[in-house]
Amino acid sequence: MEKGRGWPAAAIGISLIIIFLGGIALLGITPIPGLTAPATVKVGIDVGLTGFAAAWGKHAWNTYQLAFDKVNAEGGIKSLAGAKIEYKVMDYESKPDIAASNAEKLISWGASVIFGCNSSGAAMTASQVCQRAGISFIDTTDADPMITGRGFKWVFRTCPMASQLVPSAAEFMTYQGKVTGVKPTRVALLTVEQAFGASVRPVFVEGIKREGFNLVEDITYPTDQKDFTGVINKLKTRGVDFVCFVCSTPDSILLIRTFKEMDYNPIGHIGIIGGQYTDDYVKTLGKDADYTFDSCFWTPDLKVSGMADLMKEYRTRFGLDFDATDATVINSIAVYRDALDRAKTTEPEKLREAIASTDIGLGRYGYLVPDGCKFDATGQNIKQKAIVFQIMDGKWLSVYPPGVAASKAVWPILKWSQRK
Amino acid sequence: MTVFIQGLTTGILMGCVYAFFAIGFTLVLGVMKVVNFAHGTFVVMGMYLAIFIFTTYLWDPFLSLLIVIPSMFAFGLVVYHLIIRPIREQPLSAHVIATIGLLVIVENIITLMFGSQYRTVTVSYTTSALVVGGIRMGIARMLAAGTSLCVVALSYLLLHRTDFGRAVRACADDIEGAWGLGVDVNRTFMVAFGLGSVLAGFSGAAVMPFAVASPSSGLDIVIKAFVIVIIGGMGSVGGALVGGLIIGMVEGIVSALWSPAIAIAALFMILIIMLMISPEGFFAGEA
Repeated sequence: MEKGRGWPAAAIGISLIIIFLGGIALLGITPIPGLTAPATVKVGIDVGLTGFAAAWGKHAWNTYQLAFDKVNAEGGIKSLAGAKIEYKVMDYESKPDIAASNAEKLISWGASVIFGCNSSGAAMTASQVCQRAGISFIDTTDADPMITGRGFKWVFRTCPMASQLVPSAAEFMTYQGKVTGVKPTRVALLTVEQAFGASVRPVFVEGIKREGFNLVEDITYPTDQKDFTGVINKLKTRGVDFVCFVCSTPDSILLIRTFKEMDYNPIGHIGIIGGQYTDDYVKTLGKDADYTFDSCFWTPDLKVSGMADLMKEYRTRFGLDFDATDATVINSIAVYRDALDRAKTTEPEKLREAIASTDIGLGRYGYLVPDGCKFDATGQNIKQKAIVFQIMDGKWLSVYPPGVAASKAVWPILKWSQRK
Repeated sequence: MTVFIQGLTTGILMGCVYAFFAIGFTLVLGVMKVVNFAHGTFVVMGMYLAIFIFTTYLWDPFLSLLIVIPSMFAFGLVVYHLIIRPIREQPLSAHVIATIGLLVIVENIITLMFGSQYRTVTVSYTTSALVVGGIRMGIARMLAAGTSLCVVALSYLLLHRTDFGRAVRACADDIEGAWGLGVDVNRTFMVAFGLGSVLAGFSGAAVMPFAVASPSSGLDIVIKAFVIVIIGGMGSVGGALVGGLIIGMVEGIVSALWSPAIAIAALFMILIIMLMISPEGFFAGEA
C-alpha cells in the first residue's frame, strides 16, 4: 500500500490555500460582489451648472459637496466599515441629451447611485439610462409626474411632484379667499415651454378648475422669452386678478419686473417651485420679490433640529443662503444613507430594494421636511407635504397648510404704489 | 384695441433693440462675407462688461460704454488677426467651424469668470415707465431703442458719407477693384470687424438696465440677427433696422393678442415668406 503524503503535506496545502485567499482579499477581489465593504462608495451627480437650470444646479452641487464632505469627515458610512463617499459631478448644461450621456459616463465610472437633475427634461432622460443599466436614480427636485410614472423600478423621487404641489397652491387660493373674503375671480396661468412646464400645466389647469376658479387665460411662452410686456398688458386688459406661474428663474425675475413696469396689481401670484424659491430671485429683485407666493417643499422657518446650524455652515462655506433646492438634496442624501445602512452593500439590486423600502421621518440623517419619506410602488415619496410660502423682506415664510405654517399670508398683496 | 397698440408699441421698442443686435452682424457679413456665429457672444460680452463695471464701480451701463467701446474694438482687432483673417477666403464651412469654436471659447471664459447663473443690473429706471394715453413704455427700453436709432443713423452716415465708408463699400462690392484703387483692403476689413464687435458690445451694454444675461444667450441672439439680416438684406444698416422692427412688431402683437409661443412660429412664417418673395432681403446690395 502506498503511503500517504502525511501531515506535513496537508499543512503546507492548507497554508497555501490560506495565503492565496488572503491575497485575494487584500486585492479586494471577492467571488460575490458586494460581500466585502468597499473602501469607497461612488456617487454620481448629474446636475445643470450652466444654462437655465444653473440657478438650481449650482445650489444642489454646493449641498452635495457639503453633505458628503461632512459624512467623510465623520468617519464615512459606518455600515460599510467606514467607506468614504467618492462623488463626481457632471454638468448637463441644461440639455436633456447631455444629462443622459452624463448618466452613462457616471455609471461607467462605477457610481452606485445617480442623483439628479434640477430640471424635469434632464431627469426623464438620465433616469431612463439608469433604468436600463440597473442603477438607482434618486430625483431630488423635479416635478414632472412622468419621472415616476413610467413603471421604472430603479427611479425614485424624494420631493413632491406636480400633482402634490399644485393642489396645495389651488387649495391655498381657496383658503385665503375664505379667510380674508378676497377671492380671485379671473385667474391666468403662465407656463414656460419646458418639460417641467408642459407636465405641470395640465395638473394646474385641473387644480384651478376643481377649486371652482375661473381660468380666463392659459398662456405658454418659450424658454428664452425676453419680453413679457405684451402678455402682462393682456392680463391687465382682461381683468385677470390672480396669476399662477410655472416658470424658471430668469422668467420669474423678468415677469415681476414687468408687473412693476406695467403697474400690474393682481390680488396675488403663485408659482410651483420654479424660480421663486431660489436666492437668485430674491437677490436680483430685492424688495420687488416681496409678497410672492410659491408652492414648494421647504422653507427656512420650519422647526427642524439641526437646520439652523446647517444653514449657517452653508453660508460660511459658499457665501449663499440655503434654499429649497439645498433642502431637497439633504433629503435625498438622507434617504441614500438610510438605505445603505439597511442594505449594508452597494450591490445594485440590494441597494435598490433598500431604497424602495425606505420609511423615514423628519430628522433622520437630517431629513428636513415633514413628514419624511416613504416611496409608493412607483418610486414617488408619498409622505412629504407641499408647503406654500410667501416672500417677505427677502425671507421665505411658510403660510400654508395651517398645521405647518409659521406665518400668516399678506393677502391681497400690496399694490406697487403702496410699497416703500 | 389697447392691447394691440400696447403690443405694437412694445414691439417697436424691442424691434429697435433687435436691430441693434444685428447691425454689427450684417456689417461683417455684408462687407467681408464672413458669417460670424460668435457675434451673439460678443453681445453677451458687452452685457457682462456692463455688469462687471456696475457691480465694481456702480456705473450705469450707459456710462460703462466709455470702457466697453474701446475694449470691444481692441478685442475685435485681435480676433480679426488671429481667426477671421486666416479664414476669410476659405469656404463657408471654415467660417462656421471657426466662429462656432470662438463662441464656445468665449462662452466658457465668461462662465469661468462670472459663473453660470443669470445676472441682471438694477438701476433706478429699470422698472420705470412713461405713460402716454394709457400706453406704458419702459424707460430702460426706450433708452436702448433710442440709442439703437442713433447708432443706425451714425452707421449709415459712416458708410455713406466718409472715406472709410466708401472704402468699406468698395471692398464689399469688388475686392480686386478696391485694391486696384489703392484701398488697403486688409486694414479696412480689420477696422470693419472691430466696428462690428463694438456694435455688438454696445448693444449688450445698452440692454442691461432691463435684460437678464446668461453666458449661453449668444446663440439665441445670433439666430435672431440672422433672421433680421435675411429679411433686411445682407450688409444693409437700414435693412437691419427694418428687419428688427418687423420681428419686434410681429413678436409684440402676436404675444399680446395670442401667446409668445405662437409669436415664434409667426416669425419663422414671415422668414419663409421673405425667402420666397425676396431671398436677398429688402435692401440687398446696399452695404
